[in-house]
Amino acid sequence: MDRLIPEKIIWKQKFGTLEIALTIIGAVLYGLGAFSTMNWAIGFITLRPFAFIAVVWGVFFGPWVGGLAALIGNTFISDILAGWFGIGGVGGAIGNFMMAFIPGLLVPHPKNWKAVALWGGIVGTLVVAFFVGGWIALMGFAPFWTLFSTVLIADVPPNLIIAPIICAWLFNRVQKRGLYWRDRLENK
Amino acid sequence: MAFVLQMLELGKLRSPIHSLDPRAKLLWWICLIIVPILVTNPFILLAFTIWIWIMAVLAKISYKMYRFLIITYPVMVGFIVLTWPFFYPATEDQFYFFRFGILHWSLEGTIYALAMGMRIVLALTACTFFVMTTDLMGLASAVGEFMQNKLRISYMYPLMVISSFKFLPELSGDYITITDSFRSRACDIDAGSIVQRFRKTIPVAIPLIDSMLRRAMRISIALELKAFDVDIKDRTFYEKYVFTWKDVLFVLTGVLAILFSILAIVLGIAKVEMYL
Repeated sequence: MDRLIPEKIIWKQKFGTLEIALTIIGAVLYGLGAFSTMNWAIGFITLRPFAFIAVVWGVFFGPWVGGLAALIGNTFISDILAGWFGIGGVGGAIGNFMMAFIPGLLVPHPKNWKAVALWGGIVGTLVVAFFVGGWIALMGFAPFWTLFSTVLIADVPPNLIIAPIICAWLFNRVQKRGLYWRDRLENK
Repeated sequence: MAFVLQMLELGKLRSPIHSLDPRAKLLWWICLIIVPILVTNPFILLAFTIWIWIMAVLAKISYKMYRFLIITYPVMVGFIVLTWPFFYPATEDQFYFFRFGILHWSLEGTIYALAMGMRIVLALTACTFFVMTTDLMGLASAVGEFMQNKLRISYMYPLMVISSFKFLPELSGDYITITDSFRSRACDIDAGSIVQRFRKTIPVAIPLIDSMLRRAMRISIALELKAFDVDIKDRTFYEKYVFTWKDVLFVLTGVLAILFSILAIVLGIAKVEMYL
């Protein structure tokens, strides 16, 4: 339970109808959460209190389900509706995918708050900030540090604080419904 | 939230632009993403932006698009324009408004920042025009058909995107119901300081996620009942999209924009550096 990485890292995840449904719902939740809280701003920096959904989805339903949900939610819902799609584009898509993929892959158990905070709150968030800042800087739209720091400010609090709490609270319900991805893999 | 639904509905209007093939609009939009990557001259970028504003009149979305962009421009561009001058390389020949240690703000840096802001303005305008004139579900369906029939890629990926748009109104309804029920118990998620609002997301998130999981299970059952299979790659499509000469012409306008940008590079007028 206290391990920070799982005994065996599982890269593959078979997509059935349940995985597809969970991806769709995760994408809508993530995109809607990001878009509906765009008015939560400190100066020009808009906060993303629902960013934790990507981490939670990755931890509960697996790296590919979480990653695709975050990618679709961020890129095809939030970015398109906000008009940011052409600018954030590739960096935002890969970064958000990784933000869910990394904790999904490396968190051994959802109730292990240290692992959720480490892989989701710190590593995953740093990766998304790096990709978004790096892409925007590569395209020459803004300096790297501007978007890197903005993404960190927006994503660290929800991923570091809220994600471990939600994971711990909701895990039993998810497991009872037979939706936890590691259990499903074992059953298969 | 109502704005999300409004945006999705705008794509279903009837106009000469709306009636074009969604794939044509997608290609045009990709061209308009490439333009601000090639060009940094703010006047050329402004000219392209005005061109899209004029096309918005033709697409009958001018009022809603202008109203949206007037709010969006400062939020999206302001922060970047304000921070760019601090990162602009400091040299002795610049005119400085202030210079203190590594912190500096020069006239040249400001001009450069405005040019960078103009690039984002063009990209934002093109994206907004594209979203407001395209039925996103139609686009995903057309792209899905192309991917399956030409590239042999499973319909699963477009389905996830299409369904996300399809469930957006339903899930936003759930979100509003949950936040309203909390509001009726004196817990307004949109009220209070940032820290207070941040804390309130937890009690809202629990029932939200829980109800969504139930919905996911229902969607999964519905997919099973309709015999959806990830491995099937010969699915038929209800709506057929055909490229006409109008679509080709529309894509050509985007290609012309790129050619004009390349010409500007050749002539040495594409970069903001010519004003610095």
